[in-house]
Amino acid sequence: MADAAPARGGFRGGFGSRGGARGGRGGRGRGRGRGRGRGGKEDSKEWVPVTKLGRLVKDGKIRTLEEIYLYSLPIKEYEIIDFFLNRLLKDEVLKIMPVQKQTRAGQRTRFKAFVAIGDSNGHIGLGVKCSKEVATAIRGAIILAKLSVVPVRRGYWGNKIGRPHTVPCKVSGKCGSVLVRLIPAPRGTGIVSAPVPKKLLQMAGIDDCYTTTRGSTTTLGNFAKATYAAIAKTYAFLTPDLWKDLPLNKTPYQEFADFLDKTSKSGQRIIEM
Amino acid sequence: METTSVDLGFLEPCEPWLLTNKFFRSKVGGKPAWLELKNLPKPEELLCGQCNEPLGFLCQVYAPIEEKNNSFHRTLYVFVCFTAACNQSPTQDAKTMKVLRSQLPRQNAFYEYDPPDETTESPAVKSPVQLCVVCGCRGPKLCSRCKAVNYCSAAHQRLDWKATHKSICSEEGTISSSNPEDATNSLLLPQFEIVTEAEEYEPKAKLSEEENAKRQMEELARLQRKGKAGALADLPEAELDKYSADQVEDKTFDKFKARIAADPDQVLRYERGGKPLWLSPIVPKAVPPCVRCNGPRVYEFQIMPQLLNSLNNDRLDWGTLVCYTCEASCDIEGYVEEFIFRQDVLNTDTARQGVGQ
Repeated sequence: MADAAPARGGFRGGFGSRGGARGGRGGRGRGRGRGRGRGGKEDSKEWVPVTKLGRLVKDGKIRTLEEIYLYSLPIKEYEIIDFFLNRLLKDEVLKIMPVQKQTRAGQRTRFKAFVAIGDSNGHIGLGVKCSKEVATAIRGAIILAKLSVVPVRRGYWGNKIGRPHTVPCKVSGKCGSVLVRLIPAPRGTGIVSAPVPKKLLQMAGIDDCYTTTRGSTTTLGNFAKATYAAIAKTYAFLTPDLWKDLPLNKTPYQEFADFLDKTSKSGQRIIEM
Repeated sequence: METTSVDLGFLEPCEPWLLTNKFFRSKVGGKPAWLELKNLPKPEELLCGQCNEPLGFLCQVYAPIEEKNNSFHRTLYVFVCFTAACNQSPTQDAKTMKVLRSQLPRQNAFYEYDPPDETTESPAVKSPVQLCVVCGCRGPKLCSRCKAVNYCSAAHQRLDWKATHKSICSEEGTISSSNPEDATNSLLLPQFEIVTEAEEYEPKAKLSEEENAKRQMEELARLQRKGKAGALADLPEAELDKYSADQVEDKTFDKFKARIAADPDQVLRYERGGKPLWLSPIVPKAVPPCVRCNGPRVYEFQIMPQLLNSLNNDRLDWGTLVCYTCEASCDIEGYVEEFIFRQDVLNTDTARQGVGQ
């Protein structure tokens, strides 16, 4: 670039140089036509993973979403959920409400959005986001809902005819003093529960269920956690159809890491906890 | 979109001869293209603090400081440990990574005063010091049989023996001298050039309070008319709040993701004297001062996790690597160590703890 010549006598600049002496851009270009300055669209950009789990998912090394749940690896990128469940997920806005805070300069209004997301086939998530703008709150809540997706296992009340429609067995979740119990129900019962868990269970694909709760359910947070724990436990319960021994797989991290480094000098073995 | 003062680095494929020392490029992978060619770091200085294996070369950043004469050429080299255990769970203060700084004035003993011709292929400037054929660092040790090949450590000698040297080593000298530049082995990462572009980032437009509130209430009313404002809109807020108590928001991580969204494939962020883009709330307690001049260190650049997507190495892992260098960029002979801090992604996933147990 001509204007770079006087500054460094023709040498290319590196990082941190201003005034056009930057290396790489002028002469070689990026060759990608990225639409800079034309208002680049965000949705058309391909996902570049930032966490290790994201990289494993993008490479296709993890086949189903259930594998992640089985090993309880943290999901920090919502694109991971999109990768497995994209078209099947339906989001539903449960409530949008303005919340106001009194400041010295008057009132500050923000909007709180509650969004539930589910595929009616065993996955459910709930997200809450507060933001200055309605659209931002909804978008943020959808992302948080995706990050909080849990698997829900369904089974039968009686005869194994048709698709599973209820919880596989009585499961209870406890948090604090609150105990929430989900009980299988015959077809046609519907969900007998408070409005919010009813919505969640519906979106998870459970058609019939009895619920019973005990403890001070008005304790903020505990009731929610207990219901969540109960739903999450549906996968943890070992029922006869799961008695066939599943071989112990290595966690995705270990499977793709070389723990026994053969060139270890002093013969030290690194023992994984 | 406006440009901020941050320079971003992106990976681009490049001819290998252009990535040697006399062309002064920033690059990832391959062997390090040393700047100062006499006082190379000794192998003992490039060992992992946790497992004592030789460190592998990750990348080098060419970052001259134009105001000073002595740093007309200035490069920072980043070395990381390739052992899986050191990447999974590095202990708090263990040095599994090192960054070295080297600088030269324009008039120096190794390179031409004028810029090199970049249109035709030409060999690199040869170092007076012997280099290890496996990793490109200083190689004081020799193969004991043929005495023709150099290594930096016993570990690399063993690797090369199994890979190529066993078949060509003999007492008279190596039979065929395969071009050492072509050697690709498990210790070298795929080679790319790092090109720079200024970051373009559009901060959210700020409206005045009343203006914003009015607009948003209209938006809300519009949604309510369409019937999209909530299936459970009649429920009180407290009722719904109970179910979201589980939710954990990692605000630092969200801000990180939002900032990189405009250029998701960036691998390096450079802003000397600026502030790093943190990935988690865990930040270094105190940045140690420069080892040579005892002056303070400032943030210079950070390596992003997107780099791992292109490295094809399953063992390496990090959240972001943040590098601090001497503020004065003090005069040095050879290479001096600077401070690098590794941040990992925080595990905030309480909602899923308990599943599978």
